[in-house]
Amino acid sequence: MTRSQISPELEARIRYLEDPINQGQGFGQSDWAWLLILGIVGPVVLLVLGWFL
Amino acid sequence: MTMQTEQTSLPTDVKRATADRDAWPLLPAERDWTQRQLFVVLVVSAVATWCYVIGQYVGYYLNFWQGCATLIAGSMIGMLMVTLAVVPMATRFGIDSIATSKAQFGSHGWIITMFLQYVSIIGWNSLLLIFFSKSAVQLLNTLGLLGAGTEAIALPIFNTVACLAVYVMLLRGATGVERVSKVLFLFIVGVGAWILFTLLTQNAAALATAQPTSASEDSVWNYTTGIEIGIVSLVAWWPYIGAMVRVVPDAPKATLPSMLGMGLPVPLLSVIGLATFLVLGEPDPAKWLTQLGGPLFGSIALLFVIAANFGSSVAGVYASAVGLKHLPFFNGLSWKWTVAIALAPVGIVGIVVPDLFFNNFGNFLAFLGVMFAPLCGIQIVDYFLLRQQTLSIRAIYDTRVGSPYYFLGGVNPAAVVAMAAGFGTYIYLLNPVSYASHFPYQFLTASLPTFVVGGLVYWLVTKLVCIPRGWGDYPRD
Repeated sequence: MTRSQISPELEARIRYLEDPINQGQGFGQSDWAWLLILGIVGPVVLLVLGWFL
Repeated sequence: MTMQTEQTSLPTDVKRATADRDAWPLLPAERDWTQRQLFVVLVVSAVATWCYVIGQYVGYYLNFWQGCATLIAGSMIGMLMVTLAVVPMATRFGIDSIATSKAQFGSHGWIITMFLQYVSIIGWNSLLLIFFSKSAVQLLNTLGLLGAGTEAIALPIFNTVACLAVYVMLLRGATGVERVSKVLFLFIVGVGAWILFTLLTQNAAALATAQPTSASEDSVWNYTTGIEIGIVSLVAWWPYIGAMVRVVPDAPKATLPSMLGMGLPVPLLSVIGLATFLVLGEPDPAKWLTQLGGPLFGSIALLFVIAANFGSSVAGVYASAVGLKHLPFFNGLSWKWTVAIALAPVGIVGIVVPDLFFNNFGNFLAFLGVMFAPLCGIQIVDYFLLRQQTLSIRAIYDTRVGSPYYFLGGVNPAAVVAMAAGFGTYIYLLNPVSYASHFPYQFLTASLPTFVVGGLVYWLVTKLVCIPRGWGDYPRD
């Protein structure tokens, strides 16, 4: 049987963060909208316009 | 198998003063940057002389307006890839980019991403500090404070001074990064905008007629190459972004700063390099501005470079040092020694072989696309599709045999095969050394197919090999 030592502080941090309440929230609807506009729609529009410049 | 642990209580509302100086997950109380603070840090990190060189490379193939369009569009697409790959995991648990890759590469296989991060940041920071030193020498020459022929001595001295200054700032960890950014932000944004405005308004006629020097006969190829340069320049932020965004409490606070603070300033500043290169044949606007407004304008442009490069170097070395902390050797090493080891190669390159990266920057950019485009595809497929946004913070730090992210001998074969497939795809589509390309590069770029192939192969190997064997702790359908 192998064992490894984990720092008590790291263990405490992990234990705390295992509770979903203590985790950071993911992307919300508005974030996805911004990502779509800034990362796909905007660039596509720019590329179409830019082709004719 | 059990982990030897002690029951311990860590007050969750108490901030451990040095939490940002290692690779452990940050607790909510330690992730206290606001959206604005993150935006400032990312802008200062993003804005540096590399933007001029990026603009120069686009200027080889495209006129000014097409260059602007492809730079901005390509950069925002690249930033989207990196944001989706890293930000959700990094902001969920307060972890850096390397830690986010452990679920995909395995509890030992993450060494691959750590190597990529280390090499990439050495390359970028060497370039920055070489520019820093050259600009400092040029500034002192302009002000009449340095004699002719002293460059060979002055350059290594300034490089050393820059490294020492970066080192001192980073003794404060993320706080040092944030403080440098706060001081430099207004100067960088203000002067950057002034340079851009001055160049565009004073030289509108020249810009309208300037033609690229190395454009191919295939206008579609040229246009696609502009997009490709934009994409690879921003996927290169993969090593940096985790260490920055992990200090905000959640993904919504990181979304706009990432896209607008890191994604947009790079192409906007690259436009300066593009414009200068098209009109003058070199990307550095200092000489152009000196022609416009004498030594004063030139000095301001040089001070801008010095400030911008310093800020970006601080951020880059910080991310590199945090990444190194994942290695067992660095766990017990003090932060000051970790920073020194992260910084040492940058200093050595800048002093011993300063022109190495300088003269091969285009190839360096292409190799970044080879490495980081498939990596982004892998992470996005893994987190959003295969894991359905479930992730174990314990498994990320559990390196024991048989731990959830151990896979096969500590390495996930799906990630290795996917990276290889992505590498092969990119090399076929665009040779990063010669820039020779094959169909359908001119319609798709090289990074986008590489991103898709990397993600697709990862998905296939995971479904066919890893999940049936119970590797990787994937949720059951």
